[in-house]
This record gives sequence, C-alpha cells and structure tokens, in this order.
Amino acid sequence: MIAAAGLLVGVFAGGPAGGATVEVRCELVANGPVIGVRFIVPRGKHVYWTNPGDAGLPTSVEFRLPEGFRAGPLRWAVPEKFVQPGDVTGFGYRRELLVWTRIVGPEGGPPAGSKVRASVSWLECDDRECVSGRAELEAAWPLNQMPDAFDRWASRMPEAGGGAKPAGAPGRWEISIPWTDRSGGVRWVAACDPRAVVTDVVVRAGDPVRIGCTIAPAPGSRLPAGGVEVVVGYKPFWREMKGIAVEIPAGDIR
Amino acid sequence: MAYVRRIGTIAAVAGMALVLLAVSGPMARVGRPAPGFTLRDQDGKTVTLASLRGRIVVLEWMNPDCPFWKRHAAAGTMRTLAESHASKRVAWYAVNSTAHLAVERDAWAREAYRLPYPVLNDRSGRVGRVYGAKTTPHLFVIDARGRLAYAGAIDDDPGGARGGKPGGVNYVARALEELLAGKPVGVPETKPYGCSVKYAR
Repeated sequence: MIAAAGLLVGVFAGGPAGGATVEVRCELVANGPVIGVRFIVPRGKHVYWTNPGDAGLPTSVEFRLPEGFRAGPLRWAVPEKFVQPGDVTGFGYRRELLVWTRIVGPEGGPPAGSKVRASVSWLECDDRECVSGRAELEAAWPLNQMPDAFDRWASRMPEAGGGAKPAGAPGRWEISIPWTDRSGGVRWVAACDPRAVVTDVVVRAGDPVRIGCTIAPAPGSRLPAGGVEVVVGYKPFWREMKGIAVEIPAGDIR
Repeated sequence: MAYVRRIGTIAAVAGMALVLLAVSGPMARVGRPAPGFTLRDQDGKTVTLASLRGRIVVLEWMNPDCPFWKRHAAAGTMRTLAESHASKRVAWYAVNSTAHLAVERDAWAREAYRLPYPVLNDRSGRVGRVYGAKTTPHLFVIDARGRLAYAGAIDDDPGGARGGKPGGVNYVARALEELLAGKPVGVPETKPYGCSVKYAR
C-alpha cells in the first residue's frame, strides 16, 4: 500500500493466513535535511527496537531517495524495556516512534516534487496478541516538516561518552560512564544488535559509574564483524528513558 | 479463622499437586534431562513425556493468532517436517500456552492448518515456563534418552524473507537428521524468534 504525501498506511498482516487491519500508522516527515518515519502506536501496544529482546521483530525502515541522494545511518531512540509474563524481555516503544536519518547528497536537497520512498515493516504487540505490518511510504519533496517531533525525539537519542575495556574473563567487560545525571539509576544494558547478548550485569555506583557485564553471541549466532554497540539505559526521575551508547570493538570480544 | 487458614492450606497443597501433575524436574537446559510433563491434547487424551521414552520428541510452542506461527503453519514448515519423520521414531507435539485462547482453538488450528500432530493444552503456562519457551514458534527436541538436544528457532529466517521457499537452515530438520544418525546435534541452541508466548500474568 502506498501512502502519498503523508499519514496513513499500513495494512498487511500476519502472513498468508492473516487479514486483520494493522493499527499502527506511519508517515514520512522531515526537519530540513533530516528525514524520518514517524509511527503512531495504539495505546497498550508496542513496536520493537533494533534488538527486540527475547521475542518480537526489529522494526525496519529502508529509505529510497531521488537519484544522487542517499540516506545516512538510521538513528534509533533509547527504547523501554518490557518484562512480559514468563520472564520474556522486550525492548521497544509505546505510543510513538520516530526513526530518522540525514540525507546525504548535493547541497540544497532533492529537487522539489521528486519522490522520497520508504519500505517499512514492524510487529506491534500487547500482552494478548501480535500483528505484523508492512507499508510502502511515498511522498514528494519537500516532506511534511515536523521540527517539534524531531526536537522531542532528539532528547531520547543515546548519548556518546562511555568507554569499555576487557575485564579479565572471556567476554567480560567493564563499561565506565561519566554520571552527570544522578537522579536515576541504570535500568538495563543491552546490545543494539540481536546477535549479541549482554548478561551478568553488575552496576557499581559512583562517578564514573562502572558496569561489569558479559557480552557473548546469541545462541547460534556470530557477533557482528564491526563490533557491538551497547546501550546503557537509565531513567531520570519524572523523565523518559535515556541512554549512553558504548562501542565494544570487534577484535576484543571473545 | 483457623478454618479459613486450613482451607488456605488445603488449597495451597492442592495447587502444588496440580503443578506436580503438569510438570516435574528443574528448568530445561540443553544437554540435561528434559523436564517431565503431563498434558492433555485437543481431544482430552493425556500425554506424558515419560510415556514417550525411547522416541525422539519434538515440542513446538504455537499460537494460532501469532503471525510468525501462522506463516510457518500456512507454508507447512513444521507439518512437512513432522510428516517426513512420522515413521522414524519421532513424536511431534504442538504446545499451546496462550492463556487467553479458548481450548477449542487447538482443534480448530489442527484442522485449519492440517497439522498431523496433537496440540497439547498448557494454558496454565507451567510447562512452557519450565521449558523456557519464549516465542511462538519455539522448538525443543528431546533425544531418545530423554535429554534436551535442541532448543531454539525452527530456521534462520525470522523475517520470512524466503517466503516459505526452501533454502537457508532448518535447525530442527538438521537436529533430527543428526539424532537419527546417532550423532550429536551440531547446533544445539539458537535464538528463537516470533511473538512472545502470551502467558497468564
């Protein structure tokens, strides 16, 4: 299904035997040269991060831009952690998600009227059911400008600033992060890529905060060749989840 | 008050007995003896793991409302595999731990997807939790000696990119071939994918 120039979308569900209408809506939006897909997630449901956790499916966004332009790396906000019945852990987003990237290409951006397209897929779940969705979005440049949404989501992007060093035992690491906001504690540590799992997390408070953890391939998986990006999720009082991104170099993971 | 306390004690003991009836043994771990269980199938027939000793047993966690399970069921991924091993000392069971689904849906799913194997009712989630079943589908293969030999995904195609077409790796098919050939399972554990099992809260 194609949604021309704006909101709406998604319909497809659930494989050959599916047929339900997907409730998540999504749209192409922009803030100058930064473009994104904004998902509106129904109350009580969630969609998933790049690492969905024990179950679920990563939300996927693939931009296709006018000739001469390409999309930079996708940026994903710090997710929430859900622990569902049966100790099934998930990472994802409720209510809204904005995935964005910067357009790379000649200054001035694509010609007016040229088409920006995105192939999008997701799994929306609650405690009772999951529904898969897929959409082909298309809109003419310039896209719907939504600077407020980008500002809001900028504060939820993982910050850089942590460091990591091997901590003796195979796969064991010590992550250290400067602690500028002491009002909340570390809630979780997770790899952005589901091929890596983080276990045996031990947090030692202080400044910097030191976090011991084991990073290993998920069962049956190989670690990404380029290394593993880990996010330390923390929640300041009265504010949304925040996180610090830490790069674990590929060559040092055992 | 004492009467109420006694009733509470009786209820607790009865509850424990029910747990023991459904499942026994520690949490499932690959390489260790698989936890025993007693469950009823869609026709009310009792199935125990102990009664299957000597056969390879496949347990397939399912949910007829989950798009991942439906994709595989419609493509016949598990059905084809189960049928091809039906005469080879392999017993295959689906297990439904979806707390909110009516038990009648098991018989419906069997007929709708032409499943050649029974669907076991685990609405309490006790067996699923002990096996650590996280997703639908989530597959467990128990060898003829009763040890858990494989736990994980059915295959390496979480997003359904192959659309049910052959190719890639079917981990369960490979595990069954290895066990039937008397070999150890080469990849005994993978990360399962699918909807979370919708356990009771």
